[in-house]
Amino acid sequence: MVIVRIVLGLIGIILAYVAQSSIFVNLKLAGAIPDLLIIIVMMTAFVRGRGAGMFMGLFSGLLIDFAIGDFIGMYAFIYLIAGYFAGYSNKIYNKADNLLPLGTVLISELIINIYLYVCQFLLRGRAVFGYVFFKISLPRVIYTLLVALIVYKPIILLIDFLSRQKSDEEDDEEIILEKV
Amino acid sequence: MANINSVVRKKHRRREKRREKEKKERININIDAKYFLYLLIFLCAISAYFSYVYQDKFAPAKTFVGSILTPMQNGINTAGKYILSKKELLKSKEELILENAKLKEQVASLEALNIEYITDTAELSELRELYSVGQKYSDYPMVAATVISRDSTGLYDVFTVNKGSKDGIKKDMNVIAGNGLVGIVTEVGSHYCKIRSIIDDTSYVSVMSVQTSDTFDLHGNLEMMADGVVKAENISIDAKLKDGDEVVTSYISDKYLQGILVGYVSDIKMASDNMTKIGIIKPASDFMHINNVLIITELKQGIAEE
Repeated sequence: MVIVRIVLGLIGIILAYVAQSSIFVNLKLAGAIPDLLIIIVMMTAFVRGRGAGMFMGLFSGLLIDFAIGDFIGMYAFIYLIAGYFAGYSNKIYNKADNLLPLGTVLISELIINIYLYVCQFLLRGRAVFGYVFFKISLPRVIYTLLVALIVYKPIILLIDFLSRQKSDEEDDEEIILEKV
Repeated sequence: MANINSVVRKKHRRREKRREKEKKERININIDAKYFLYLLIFLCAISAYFSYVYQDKFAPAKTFVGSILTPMQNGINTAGKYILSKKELLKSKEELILENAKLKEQVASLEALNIEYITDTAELSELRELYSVGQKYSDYPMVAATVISRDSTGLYDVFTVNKGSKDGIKKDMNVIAGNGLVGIVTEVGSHYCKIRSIIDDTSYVSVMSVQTSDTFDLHGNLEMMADGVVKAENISIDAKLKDGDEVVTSYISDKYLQGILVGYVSDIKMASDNMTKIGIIKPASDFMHINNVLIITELKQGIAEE
């Protein structure tokens, strides 16, 4: 069961990455492409907790690192941390909650964009924060949030469905039915 | 009644057992998560360090991931282009009429320009002979390739095309589109390669103007990337560059073949240090709509060695 989950997670990540680098390149809004990977990572963390969020973050980050990064570990590091801390939202997990999963997407995407600016521009001595933030980061965050708004519910339901085991309540129902 | 009781008892026992098991599992994962985090952060830092220091050693791993992703991107890209063509169809009529009027205006002005250019061509060809640059690169062996994906972070201008080492592509090969320089191959897989365009923030090209043979540097700039133009730096204060001058790659560069058309000069002014001039180069190729490129399968080093 664990292996099936890992494989499904990896497939989800790869599909999201391929979609964002091939399809969404043609559907740019204000020059931005949404970050589908962070949506998947946040939803996993929300439904499954810190551990799962962390590993999904790690795999997503590694994939970006290998695909476009200059050195391995830069994206993996921030996605890993984002997944881990988003996992705390699992403590008040409620399938019907709307605000929390979208909130985690917003905050993590903002932090990731600032981190990327520091890594890729500030460390090279290029202080162009205003431009990067308003022209690149902000459209990206907003677009990501828009896409998240559409897909977060199906993703949550899917992950929830995949991770559901026979719970005690169902067991009780069965007993009641048998009694009747 | 006894039957039901036994069933209930059985269920109860099973439930207890599962609870215990789940409890055990949950505790394990909770303890592990924190330490895993530390461990993985540590590993990320190490791998970032090593991949920075030994960049070449990590290339095979990158190539492996690339060779898995590329076929998928290749397939999905077809779907992406389809969506794009549909999006174009949605453009409103007013927009098209406006565009048409604008284009007609443009045609008129271009016709006027064209006459001017025809008279200039003779002079230009003389100059080209003089500097033995210009159309020379049409003799280079070239491979046509199609763009299959572009960088998705918006911070870089890097794209992947569908030709790789099996088609004879090597690192540092020059890439052109239309008739202008587009960029350079930075990474090669068996069936794909990555190209960093000259408008990317990290890109540097040493160039020279055809008319005045002044050499200077082109430096990609993030703020200009959106407009598809490049910054020219280190122009000598004595340079007599003027707007519209042709700029080609210079003999100084160790990666770019000499004499490839890069673009045209505009907006020359003094740099803030008052020692050099800076300007803007409008590339000859349209970076917003690159679909097909030509990769020159000849390396500058190869020529030098021969």
